Amino acid sequence: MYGIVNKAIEDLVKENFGEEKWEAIKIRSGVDVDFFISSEPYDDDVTYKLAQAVSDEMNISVGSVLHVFGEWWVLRTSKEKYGGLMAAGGSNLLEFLVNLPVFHNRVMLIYPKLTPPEFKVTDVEERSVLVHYHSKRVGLQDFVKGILTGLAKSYQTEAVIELVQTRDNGSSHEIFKVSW
Amino acid sequence: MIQLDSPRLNKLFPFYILIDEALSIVSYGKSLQKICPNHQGEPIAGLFRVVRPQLDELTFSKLQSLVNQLSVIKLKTEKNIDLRGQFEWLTETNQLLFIGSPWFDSMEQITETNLKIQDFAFHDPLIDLLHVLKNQEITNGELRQVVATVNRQKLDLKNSAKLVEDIAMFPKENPDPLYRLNLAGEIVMMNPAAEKLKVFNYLGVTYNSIEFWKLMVTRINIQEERWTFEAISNDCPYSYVCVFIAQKGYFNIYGRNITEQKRVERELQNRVKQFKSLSENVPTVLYEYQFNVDGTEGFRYVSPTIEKVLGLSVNEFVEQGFNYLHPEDKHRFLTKSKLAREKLLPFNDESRIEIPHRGTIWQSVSSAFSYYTEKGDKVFTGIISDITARKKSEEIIRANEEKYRRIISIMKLGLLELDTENLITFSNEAFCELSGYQTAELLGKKPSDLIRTEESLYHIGKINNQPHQETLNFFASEVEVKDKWGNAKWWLIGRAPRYNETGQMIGSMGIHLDLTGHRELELSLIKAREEAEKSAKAKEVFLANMSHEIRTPLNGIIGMVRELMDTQLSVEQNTSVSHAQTASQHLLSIINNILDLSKIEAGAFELEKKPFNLKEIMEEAECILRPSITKKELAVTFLVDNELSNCFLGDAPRIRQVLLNIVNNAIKFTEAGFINVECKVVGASETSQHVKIIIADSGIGMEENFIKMIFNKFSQENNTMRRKYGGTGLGMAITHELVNLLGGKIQVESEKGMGTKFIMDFNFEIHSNQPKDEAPMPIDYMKTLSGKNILLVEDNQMNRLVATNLLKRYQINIVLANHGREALEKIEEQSFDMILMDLQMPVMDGLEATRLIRKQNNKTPIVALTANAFKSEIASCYEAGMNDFATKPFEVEVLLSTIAKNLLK
Repeated sequence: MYGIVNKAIEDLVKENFGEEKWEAIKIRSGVDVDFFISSEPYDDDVTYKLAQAVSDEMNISVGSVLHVFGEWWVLRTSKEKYGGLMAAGGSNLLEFLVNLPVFHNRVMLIYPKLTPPEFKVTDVEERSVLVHYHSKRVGLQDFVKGILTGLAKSYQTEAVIELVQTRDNGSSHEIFKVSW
Repeated sequence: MIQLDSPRLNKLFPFYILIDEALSIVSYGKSLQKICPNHQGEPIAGLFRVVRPQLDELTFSKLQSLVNQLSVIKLKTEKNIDLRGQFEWLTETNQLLFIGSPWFDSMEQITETNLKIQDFAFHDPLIDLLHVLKNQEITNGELRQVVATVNRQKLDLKNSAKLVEDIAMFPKENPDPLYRLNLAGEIVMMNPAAEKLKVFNYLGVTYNSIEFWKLMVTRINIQEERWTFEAISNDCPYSYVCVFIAQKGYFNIYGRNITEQKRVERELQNRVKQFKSLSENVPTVLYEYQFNVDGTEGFRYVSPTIEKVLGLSVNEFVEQGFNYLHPEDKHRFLTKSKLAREKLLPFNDESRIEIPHRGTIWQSVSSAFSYYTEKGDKVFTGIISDITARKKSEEIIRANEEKYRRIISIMKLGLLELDTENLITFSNEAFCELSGYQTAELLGKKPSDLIRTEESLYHIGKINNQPHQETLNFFASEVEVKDKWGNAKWWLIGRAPRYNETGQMIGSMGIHLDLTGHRELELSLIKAREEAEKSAKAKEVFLANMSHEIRTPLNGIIGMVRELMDTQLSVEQNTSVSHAQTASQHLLSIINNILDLSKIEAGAFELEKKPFNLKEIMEEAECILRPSITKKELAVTFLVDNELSNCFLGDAPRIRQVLLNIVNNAIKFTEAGFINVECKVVGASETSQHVKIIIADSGIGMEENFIKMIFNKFSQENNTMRRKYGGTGLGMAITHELVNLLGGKIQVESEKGMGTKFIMDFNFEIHSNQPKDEAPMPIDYMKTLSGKNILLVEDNQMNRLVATNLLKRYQINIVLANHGREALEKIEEQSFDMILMDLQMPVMDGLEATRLIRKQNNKTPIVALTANAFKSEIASCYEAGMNDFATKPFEVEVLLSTIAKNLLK
């Protein structure tokens, strides 16, 4: 993953729990990197180790960590660093979600070495939509759910995110139903 | 409406693809053709596949669904090139137009595909984007270098910090105080140990830290490289080394807690004192002797006690010590000393030294190698003691030992010394003479292997197999042994452990005294004693037999006379029979007396110890004697002390016998006047009373000469007396013996013609219980005995007749048996109420017969009829199973009451 992801985790911890906690988490994770370069790809394992260390240090589940991180990714990282891009994504939640596949495919322009997941949107209703999540990576459902929650929050929309299909049950990909 | 012809389309979109409804490539851009030539008219599947969005199948309609989306298609080339763009549906021709551009990661990829910049439309930003990416990549690379540099520096910083911390910690962790003072004495730096020291005591004055160091700065001699002083803080002494660092303008002060050092110093001082005291006071000389590398030698140190011990000054000894050595000892001493020096061996020697005016002194010198000096000289440490006294003691001991050896030798005591294995290590000549062995034959052997016999094996074993323990004590035993020649000998062997000078047991020593002569003498004495005892026994048997032999016919005579008296007799016959009765009674009396005396002399007389009432005995005596006294019209008084105890322990029949003997004598020798009998208590304790019995009469009295003989046997004053008064002359002898046996004393006072007084003293033991009133209820013999069946077992015809006649008067059915065997036969034939059993009979005696009867579980009462009055025989009767006994000659009353009593049981 690109360094921006790990940096986002670092920012999340530092801002909420302070520098010392981040140092403790880094020591616990065994990741000896003092500075993540956003546009530099890092091994996925670094991200997983950091997530696990946060979970252990904060005594919360990895799922919760990823969910919080998903929200943080949308509400802080994306908005602060790619605010214009995000704003161009749509003027409301539905619009953004419908544009999400195109939006995401354009991110590839920013990170050409990215192995990005692919989103598809189907069953577009007035107050709900199905978001299909295809990825080679496993175990990041909660991160995606957090992203969707963060998107809803960013558009001040109270939404319910449901995981209606998952690879854990033998399906080919995850499907989230976003209702508001 | 804008129409684009092929050249314009190629110009604007050189990577376009036009697809018809059959999914065939209608045409495609010139730049794309450069990468993938010759696909026109072919199915699109040969040219590309859609990567994004994912399509589950490649159909025209599916492609149509991609309109309005950003799509990525992957060309089927070796270069793995993605095209990024969008599909547009041309409704009028029902064709799909893909407008897009290759998506490369870098410019290098472009050149690898042979594309040039002119192959891209001018509006296509890819080239510029790749330039931006390249810039970003360069920036990232530089950023990575920066980060790496920062990280390295950070690590260096971290390591430096650690190093600085470690360096800082070194003095900080120092338990001793460290200070840095400026020239004004102000503390610039100090470590935690120094911070703890708040108060300083220097030369008896107490300062706080600030005052102290300001003071000390003024005192430091900066000319000295290391100026030191001591002060006390927190009750601990500290030593401070002050170093002035001139170029920096400060002082470094290095403190150190010297409590332990001070303690060691004190201890060292004490040790030095102790050693000095020791070396000056012990009655031993301590010295150090040095053998130098250059071959010279001499004393390093000699304790001043040399003056006390040898009477020499230290200098005298150091200078001339060896010259005083006794000429006979000097060579040995120096030779041993040389050996010790060369081999570094311990040196021990006892030698004499001749000191002017002090004579010969024995010294003991012991030394051992101690250390090398820095030069390599050898130093030996040693002690010299005056052992003159010990040597004298040893001489005395040796002389004593020699003396005792001589004594042992003179006394012909055999001496053996054994080691801890009981092997002989020494034998004196006397032992060789005793045992018959030569010394050489004895050494290394066990005594038990040489001198044992079967009889004495145990004793020898006990002596020689006793474990050698520290606690082994003296042991002595008489044992029978055989000497080398097989001669039996008796030895007294005494054995004791031997110890060396350190108190460790090293074996034992044995002293052997030949007792053979004594033993033979002892054996002959034992034999003589046994023969004497046998003789006494024979006498007793003789007496028993005599008693039986005389009493049996006497029983017949008395019985017959008694029978005769019961018949109708003329006056003359009556007189004759009466004389016969008196004579036979007298004979019985004589026999009884002789038997009593014989028993006393044979030591066979046994006293009873039963409760009795002395008052009653006195009353009985009075009753018995009253008729005789009345007959002579004598004045009689019987006085009994009221204090007299009602119950004593003792032999009442014998006391009665003594009393009757004396009173009978008084009656016999008193024709007129009085007889006074008095019994009084003259002393008492809680457990006993001293009783005096006095029998005084006004009779004929005795000559003074006779008084001395009155208690001798067969003594009567003269023949006239014997004729007139009769008697055997045994009565008073028996009385005297009985009184003695009863633990009393008897004395007599008499004057011829004036009367006689017998005084007896007894110390009677008081019995706590009253004797039972055993006065038998009067028995109606006729009623009790009538009709009873009694078996009379008696071999003597006369006795059978006497008994039969007596018993028949009471209508008893008598069955006779001549001996025990016959009795057993009779018993088998019929049952009896009682068996009267004589003891000495032919065929089978009474005791054996009784045992057999009892063996048959026959419980018929058996009463012994015995002419033997010895208690041992009566005991045998009871032991055999008899119930009672009656002595012959029978007293009618005694016999009847015995029979009745046992029938009524």
